[in-house]
Amino acid sequence: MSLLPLTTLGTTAAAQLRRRQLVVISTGMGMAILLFALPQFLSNAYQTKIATETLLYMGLAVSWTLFSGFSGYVSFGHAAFFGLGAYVTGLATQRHDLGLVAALSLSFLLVGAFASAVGLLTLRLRGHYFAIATLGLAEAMKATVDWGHSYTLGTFGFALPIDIVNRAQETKYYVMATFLIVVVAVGIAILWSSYGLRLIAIREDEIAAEALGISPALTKISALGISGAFTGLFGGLFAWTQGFLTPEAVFAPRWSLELVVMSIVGGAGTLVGPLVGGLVFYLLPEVLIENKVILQRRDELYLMMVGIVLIIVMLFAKQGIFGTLQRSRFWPKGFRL
Amino acid sequence: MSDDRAVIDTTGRDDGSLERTTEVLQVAGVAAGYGRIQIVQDVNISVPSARLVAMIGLNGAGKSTVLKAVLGFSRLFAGRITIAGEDVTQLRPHERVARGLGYVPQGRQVFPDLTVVENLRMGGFLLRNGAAESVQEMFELFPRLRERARVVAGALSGGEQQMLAMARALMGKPVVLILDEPTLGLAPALVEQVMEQVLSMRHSGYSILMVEQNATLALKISDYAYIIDGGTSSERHDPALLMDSDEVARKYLGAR
Amino acid sequence: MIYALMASGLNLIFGVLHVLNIAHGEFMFGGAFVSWFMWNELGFHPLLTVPFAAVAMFLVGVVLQVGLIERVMKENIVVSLILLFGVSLAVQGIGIRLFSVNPRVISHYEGSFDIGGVLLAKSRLTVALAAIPVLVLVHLYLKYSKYGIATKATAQNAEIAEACGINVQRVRYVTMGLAGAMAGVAGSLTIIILPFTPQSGFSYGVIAFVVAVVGGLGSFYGSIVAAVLLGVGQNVLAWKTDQLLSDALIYLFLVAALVIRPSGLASLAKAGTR
Repeated sequence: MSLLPLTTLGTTAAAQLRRRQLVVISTGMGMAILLFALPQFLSNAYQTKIATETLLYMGLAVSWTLFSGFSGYVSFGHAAFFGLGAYVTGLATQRHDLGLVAALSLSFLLVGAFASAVGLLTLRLRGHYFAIATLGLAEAMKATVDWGHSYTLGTFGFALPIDIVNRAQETKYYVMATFLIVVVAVGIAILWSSYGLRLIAIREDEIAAEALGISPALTKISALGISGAFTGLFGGLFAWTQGFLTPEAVFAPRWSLELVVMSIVGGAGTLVGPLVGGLVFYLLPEVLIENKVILQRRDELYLMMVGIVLIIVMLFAKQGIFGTLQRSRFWPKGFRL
Repeated sequence: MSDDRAVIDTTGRDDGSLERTTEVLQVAGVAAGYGRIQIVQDVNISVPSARLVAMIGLNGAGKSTVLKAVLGFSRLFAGRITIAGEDVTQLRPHERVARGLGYVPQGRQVFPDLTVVENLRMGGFLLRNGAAESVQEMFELFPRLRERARVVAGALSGGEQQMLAMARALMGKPVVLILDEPTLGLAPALVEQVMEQVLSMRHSGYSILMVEQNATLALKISDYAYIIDGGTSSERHDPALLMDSDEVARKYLGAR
Repeated sequence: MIYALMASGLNLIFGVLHVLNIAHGEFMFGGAFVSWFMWNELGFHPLLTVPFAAVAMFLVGVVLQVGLIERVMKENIVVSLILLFGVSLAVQGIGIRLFSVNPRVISHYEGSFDIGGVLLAKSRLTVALAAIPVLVLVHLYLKYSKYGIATKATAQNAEIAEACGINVQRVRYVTMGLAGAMAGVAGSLTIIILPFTPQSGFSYGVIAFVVAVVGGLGSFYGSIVAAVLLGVGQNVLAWKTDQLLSDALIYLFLVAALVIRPSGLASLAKAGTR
């Protein structure tokens, strides 16, 4: 993996790269426009709700990828950031009468700071030690929220103020779509910057990266901070779109795991991967429910199907759906997305 | 390949009878490496019964790769490996050990959290019975190990660990002993000691294939020598003649 | 004690296979429901069902290793982890299909013992006492039997173990089986104390993981010590303060332990003996 800045590439190579980046940006903009046009084609509020939640899942998976996908440090603790984000927005609106914008900004900033602090403490651990250290994080957060029930309103959760929650489903959809586009844009910016190259260098060989003068600690901690901030933001959006939250729901380990699964099955270490993963893991089951193949999300047939898909992907396409495509000969070599 | 390398005429040099002894290990036309990368090719080596064969070569010439190919740890691209006449090319490492290989790895790799006795028991893992007697035999051979029998191997000194690694390999009553850099990283005084042990194993009738960076030492004690150069090695040399060769002296022994 | 069975099994797996078994809780579910089925449908005494649960989960472990995990042994640790997460979900799905989401419990032991003013539920005491011999048995196996020592040897240096003539592939099969059996026992004992659903195993698995890490990944004994500390700590705290605070403190303690000593209790002990 080359760490040379673009300017030292041959002019043709640089021009080719520019051209490809332009294609990606224009395609992305086209898709963004489609995203905003989509509600016109949805027939009822339920479908819009499903679409909104799909975007949420995609946004979360992209947020996870910003750190774990690029740096190779797999986090199993993003439920902690997600839940914290949800609680910050929830409590800010419920207890402190803040408006939605202020509450979401608070989620973004506080969780970003919290994630950086977590990074400061845990990122000394390498590889799988880090993965497991994060596994306990969400449980610890949940226990803390349960314990501080006089402030957090305890195990049974609470509803957000009605005047904040009570918005048309379409509005929620547009807000979610906007933030999804923002996080994807941030992802692309990181991926194509020298900062992204530093992260990937750490993923490929941390010691070699350090020898090249990259500070792994600083790079990793800031990346976890950015990733955590967006995860917290989407947590806040979740609280807002749902209108109700409990510690059990937002700190569930399944959030952490599903993010990992979506991102890796979609395509590990890529930006398109989590988007594909979100579609497969959220939209597909909903379509199946519509068609009465399965009765509800997380019913037994769903669990079995997801389980078997995971097993098959890991046995036969370890790079995930998009990752496998990116490695194939149909994809420009060395062009990351 | 220059001509001043002494190639042994394998018919009727010194007491003749030696040359008619069976070859216990044969490496024929082997190409090996890791993953997709091939490191050595066209390697031909044979180890006669009760002889010490040394393989010398520069760092990175592929000496260890050849040994790992013999054991079955590296990937074999071509060639055949036979132990006591039996083709083991398709067998997994532990099955080759069952056919009579004994391996003393590079860098004194013992099982650090097992005691000396437990390490020895692992060396004799395939023995159906008589493991306890074999342990006693090893204690006769390496008295120092008896004193430290209940100590975990990680707490031994470097020399003791090397002894243990050798004793562990001998526990399995091997037909051929494979030694990978037995003196690597040892203090000079210990180097001498280890070499004496190798020589005494040779005299008690073990067949040995040894890779050694210290070419001078290796040539001094071995019966035959192979030079691995450019990932290839085929010719069996007389160590004494190699020592006298200018080119060898320059390249492998350090010019003096 | 339950966590000791779970976490030490996880550590065995990690030590020998370098695999993080996120599906470990599913062994527990398997064991729990083998026991429940034998008690409820066939009328066995609960403790008599434990060996059956162990054997069944041993076999499941071996099949899992041979059929799936062995195929991804050479890959990054994340691959096996996601694969096992898939197994976990699939098993939960099948479990719900077979047993529904209703919790089951073996309500065999009623009442409590009064020991010096402290009330101990009969069921809990029985379970703790039943778990100890299993742990001792595994300890004896690892300490004295040739295959047990070979398991440790493989964990320490698989290549050299193979060069000693040890069939490391078979060691891997047996290790997975053994860890599965231990988790199976954990499950069939837990269902005597607490209700169990096909999805309970997973949460136990997550906690066992944390315990295993605190004990020191790959260290069999560290995880037992950590599990006992956790169990005692949790109960004492819950008794002295309220349940909610104790849960929060335990997790904070675990996270703190990870941050301060990432390699776990085992390395602490090692540092002490040197």
